[in-house]
Amino acid sequence: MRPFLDDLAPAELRVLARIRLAVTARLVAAAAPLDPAVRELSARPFRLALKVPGLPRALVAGLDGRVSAWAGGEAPPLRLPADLTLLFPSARDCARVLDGVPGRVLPVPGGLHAGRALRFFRAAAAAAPRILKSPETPPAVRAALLLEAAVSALVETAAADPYVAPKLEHAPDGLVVVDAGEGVRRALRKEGTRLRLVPVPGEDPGSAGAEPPDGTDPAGAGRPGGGRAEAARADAVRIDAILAFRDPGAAVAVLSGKKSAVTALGACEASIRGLVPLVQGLFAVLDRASRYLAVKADKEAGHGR
Amino acid sequence: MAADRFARSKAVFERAARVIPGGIYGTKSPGFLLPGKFPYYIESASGSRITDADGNVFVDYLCGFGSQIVGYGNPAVERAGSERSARGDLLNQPSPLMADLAERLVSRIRGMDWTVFAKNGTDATTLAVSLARVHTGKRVVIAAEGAYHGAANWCSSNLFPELAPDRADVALFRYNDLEGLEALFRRHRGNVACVILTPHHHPAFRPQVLPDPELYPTVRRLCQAEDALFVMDDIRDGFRLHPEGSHVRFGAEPDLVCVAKALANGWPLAALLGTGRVRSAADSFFITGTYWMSGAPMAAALACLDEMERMGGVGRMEALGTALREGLESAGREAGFSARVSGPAAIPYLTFDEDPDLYLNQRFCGAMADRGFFLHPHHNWFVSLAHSEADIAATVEAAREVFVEMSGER
Ligand SMILES: Cc1ncc(COP(=O)(O)O)c(C=O)c1O
Repeated sequence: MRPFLDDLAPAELRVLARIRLAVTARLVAAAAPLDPAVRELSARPFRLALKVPGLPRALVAGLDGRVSAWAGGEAPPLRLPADLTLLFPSARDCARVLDGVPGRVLPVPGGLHAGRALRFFRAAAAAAPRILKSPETPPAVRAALLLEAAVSALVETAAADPYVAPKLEHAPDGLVVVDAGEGVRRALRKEGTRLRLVPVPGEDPGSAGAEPPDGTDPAGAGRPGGGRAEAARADAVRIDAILAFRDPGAAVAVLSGKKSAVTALGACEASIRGLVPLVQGLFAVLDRASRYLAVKADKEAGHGR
Repeated sequence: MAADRFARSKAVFERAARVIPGGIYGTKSPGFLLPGKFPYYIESASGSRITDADGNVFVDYLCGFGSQIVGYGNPAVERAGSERSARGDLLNQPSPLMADLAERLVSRIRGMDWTVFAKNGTDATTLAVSLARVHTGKRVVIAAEGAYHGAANWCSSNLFPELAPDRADVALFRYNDLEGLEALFRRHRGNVACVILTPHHHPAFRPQVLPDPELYPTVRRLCQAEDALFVMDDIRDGFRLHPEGSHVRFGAEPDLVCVAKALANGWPLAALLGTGRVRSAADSFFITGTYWMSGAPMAAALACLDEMERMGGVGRMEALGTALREGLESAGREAGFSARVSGPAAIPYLTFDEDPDLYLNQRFCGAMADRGFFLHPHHNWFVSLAHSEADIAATVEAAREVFVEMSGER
């Protein structure tokens, strides 16, 4: 893939915009409780949409003090109009603005809380990268944010980019749990060439961790107790593979692209249990998604190699 | 905490990963095994044993991915190869040994009239497909899903869209799905150059499958009607299923046969053999590689063919493999598992019927590695003529312990 936004083909631009919409929506939602000012701004309800004509919109909604996000055509349980839609006239504008460089964006009010939604978005969109970069951020928090970004990028790349279709088609179907350590987990279901975010099977507050059905410890961390209880619960929804990082730091290294997954596996900083080719299929998509996310918005702004 | 038994493997890997993509790539990548349970680097080997970079010793059932058939460092093979090498291995022209080996192979592999040599199995399969296309004047290659024929773009799992044109004329059917195969022939009528199959189906990560008794007769009938060739990729199975080629075991009648791996017990050598009808295509084709005619591997191959027979050949590997299969399956059953060993006796692979995701495989093979037995969790195993009855008994005994341990975890 070409390294600069202006060199991408129109279809690639649309994939990139879709990824940016989803990653941004999920990141701002995930960052909301982590920053006092943003938490304050999300205390009261709002609904915000991010939209590019011709692409599925992303939604961020604050309700009961909790911020949730939907993207890639997923819909919230209640289909209410957004208080504010941030409308990007083109995929290129979307990719630019959401990468932090100038571009066109039109705020389109649609409800009573448009101002609140905008204030929230501005604060949260600034907070997310700040939290990610800050040395004070605990590795588990950074890992959780990066995992959130990674899974949404995976889902969107699989949905929108035909490039990864042959690899996904080749990989077996099933449910993968990604365990970044310290309780940070996300689950994806792969069906054909599609990926879907799904609840982590057996996840409840205080559960010990994702376990394969036989009760062997996926991360090799020797967590006491959890295995058999988890196995019973996992019977209902079978976990086909587990990608477990040794600790959040190891997860951060791979999810931020500093270390390749295969190298992390060899260094025992990550392990795969279960259906290895299913996870290999995800690696192929992750690789492609990372290329999109590495595309530079601006040649002039001192970006580039 | 116990010292890491793979400390040196990991340290070398860390260095390697800085300058080698993936650290170790392809089928030898640590991720294909179970990192932390298996070594990454092997320092030496002898007979049925390998010693890793940290000094851990394993009874080995991967046999250099099948290339070891008469034992690591087999003295007769090493002597033959080294003597030839000392007098010159890679020369301007081949050594006269090339004719000796060709005669030997052609008289041994049933139905074949000529042979050419190369290095990797991929060289042989790729050449076979090219010759089939040239001979028939057609493009389409029919193969089985999940079969491995090498790392060339026409058949590898590098499914990058940029490489799609290389795969464009390769059509896949589900192994043993005779109707699916017929349908492919109908769809590509007039365009099929060849069918390429392995004697039995040995996909990674899945149980192995033996050919349906109707598979080869069907292939023969369809190929005859289409005037297409049948290529037997005997690279993995070769010399372990039948001394005259694995096709003989299954009553198949290929036009081209690819062998490599066990042919020279690990010395780099592959061969493509063919029937008289494909000879003129081979005569007209530019076939070459700098190393393809080097003499030492040919000397090693001649010695290896003798050693195979001297050490008991296919019959002995069958007997050892059968003992291993029966031992493992019954030990598994006693502990309450549906452990099933699939494939021919000399090329076994254990999976658990109750666990298609291979968690139990990984648990089992990891625990066996802890005890010094190298059983790949995701790839079929190999029995060699260097394995002893005592090796098999020790393996089964260790497996019994592991199954009991595993059943306690349920
Ligand atoms: C059946 C089969 N065909 C082809 C090949 C390719 O051989 P090579 O790796 O020597 O190129 C292999 C290697 O594993 C094989 O098992």
